[in-house]
Amino acid sequence: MMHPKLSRRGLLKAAAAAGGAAAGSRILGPLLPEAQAAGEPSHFVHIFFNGGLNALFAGCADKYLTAGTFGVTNTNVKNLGNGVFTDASTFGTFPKFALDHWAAIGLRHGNALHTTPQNLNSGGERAILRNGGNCYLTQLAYYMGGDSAFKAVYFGDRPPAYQNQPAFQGTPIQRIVNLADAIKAVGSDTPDPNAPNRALAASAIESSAELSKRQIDTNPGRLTPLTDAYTSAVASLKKPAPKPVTLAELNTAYGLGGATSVGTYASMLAGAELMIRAGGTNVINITDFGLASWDFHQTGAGGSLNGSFSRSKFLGTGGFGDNRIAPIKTFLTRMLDNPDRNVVVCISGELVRLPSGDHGDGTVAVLMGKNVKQGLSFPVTDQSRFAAGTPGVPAFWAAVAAACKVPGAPFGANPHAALTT
Amino acid sequence: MKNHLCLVAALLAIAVGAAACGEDPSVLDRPNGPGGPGAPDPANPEDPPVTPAALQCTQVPEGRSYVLFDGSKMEASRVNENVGVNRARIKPFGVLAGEYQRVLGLVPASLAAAGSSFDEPPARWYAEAQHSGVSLNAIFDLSFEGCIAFTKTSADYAAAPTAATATSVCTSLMRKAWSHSPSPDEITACTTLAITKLTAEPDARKRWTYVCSSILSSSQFLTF
Repeated sequence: MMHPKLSRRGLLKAAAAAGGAAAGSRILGPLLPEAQAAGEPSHFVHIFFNGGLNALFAGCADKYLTAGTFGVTNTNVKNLGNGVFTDASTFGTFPKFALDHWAAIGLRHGNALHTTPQNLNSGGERAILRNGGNCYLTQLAYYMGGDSAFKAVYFGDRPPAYQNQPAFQGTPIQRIVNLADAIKAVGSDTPDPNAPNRALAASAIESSAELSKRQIDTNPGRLTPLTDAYTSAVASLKKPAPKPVTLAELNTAYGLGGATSVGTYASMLAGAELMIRAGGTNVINITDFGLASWDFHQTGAGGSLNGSFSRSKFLGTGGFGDNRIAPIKTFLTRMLDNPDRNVVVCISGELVRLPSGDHGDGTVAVLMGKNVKQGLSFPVTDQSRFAAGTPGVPAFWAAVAAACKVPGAPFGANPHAALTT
Repeated sequence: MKNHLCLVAALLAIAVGAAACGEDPSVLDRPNGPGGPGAPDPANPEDPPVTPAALQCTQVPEGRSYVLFDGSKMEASRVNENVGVNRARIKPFGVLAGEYQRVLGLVPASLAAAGSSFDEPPARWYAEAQHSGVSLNAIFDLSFEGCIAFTKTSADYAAAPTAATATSVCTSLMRKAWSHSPSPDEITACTTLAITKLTAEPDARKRWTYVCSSILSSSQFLTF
């Protein structure tokens, strides 16, 4: 998922940051997560379009202007500044704060295949999300620290990279399927006199966990995640109730039509806002529904039709159902420029699209947040190819960690440091 | 004399059989595996404590060896695990109504509309059920609703739990909900909840409701 036109000053700063970070990680090791909990809380929202994302949306639209690749013309791109160009009718409509804090980060993971249920141990999505036996999502959630009962959650119809991801240092990633249940679990709903008392319910569920221990220990195959579920449920019930977030408010803001189940694209963004405001969640992964559902290989007389197919799907036209851009805009408008929180949003897929209609071996990720500077870092060429030396996966996560103000350098040096403050 | 001995032996056998028939037939006090699923063990009528050590296979069966293209043996990566263990699966949403009915004699009214809380798969589709902290909390709320109705009228729940009543209720309810007998440690955990951890709740029936909800939120009830 995730590079620049570096100025001399930027290069010096990046080198200094990278050196310092490397030194920090080698000499001191990653700092303990509690260290950052005292300041402004950070939240990372990973919006993932599996099978995409065409780099024209991610900030490299100008690369395709000369040849009109992907149908890009002077009239359908928007110049955001500092070399960032995007599609005018989709990403170009994001709020100004998002456009002004947009880093397009190149990430070459080297795997041009899809991760699918039949290809679980390979493919771009796995390459981006897995760090050996660990998962970057749970690792980041752990290193971000804080005391959320739900440090990492995901929305979508399948787990990230199509399989349950491992917890890291006791930090699991759990699925949210119903917003009403999530509000109840974090205690942000209006008090119900018939509902169980939260402190007593915590004791009762703690007891359930005790009763379950022997069975979980002897049935690790399917039941191990239950331990994390009990721990999170109890921790959440023991926390003081957060500021209220109501379903009515989310319903109005995101146009949910009164539904509480996570069955629409808008409901996933509403859920992200809910889990940040009420759950204090560190890391939220949102993967669009369907199997490699952004894998548009169609070609026409002008070459790949991936640009127009993707545009239609983003806008929910041409039979593509949900509008994806509208709820993302709502989320960015409500959450990105938050004075009390550092919300960092990444929009990416795992594979850039080639002019031939095929896919490349990396992606360009959009990283947005108050600590992110507008610019490009290792963008693609007019053929959607990455330059030699384009950083890989750890560098992307190092940039995310920097934007999230994670202390130390848990993912190593950040070669994209010129674009984070 | 010989006939008398035969008669005594026959009566004894009938008595033992009758006693065995008195057990709850739904209680499966032996793990599946050698001896058959749920087969009674006369020497140990209670659920033998299964420990993590039981996961290890101690009697490696004779099997064929297959050499793979890279020269390694296929069985080399076979998990060393005993039979009849590590097989628990989370019950899908579709069976919860029947399970509440079996244990409580009623189904929480909210359950009918709770499919989206547990990602109920579409008709004729199957998806392995899983629980998060959020869905476990939802299960607890549903169980609480059912347990309020369950404890509402019975004289058994009119007075606050004592050591004796908590042991009795915990044992019988766990046995019924789990379809196997609880271990002494599990009984202790349940009675501790009933007697000491819920004292802030002044309503005796509600205290029992929490105990009941705790049992119905344990993995033994939530899994096959």
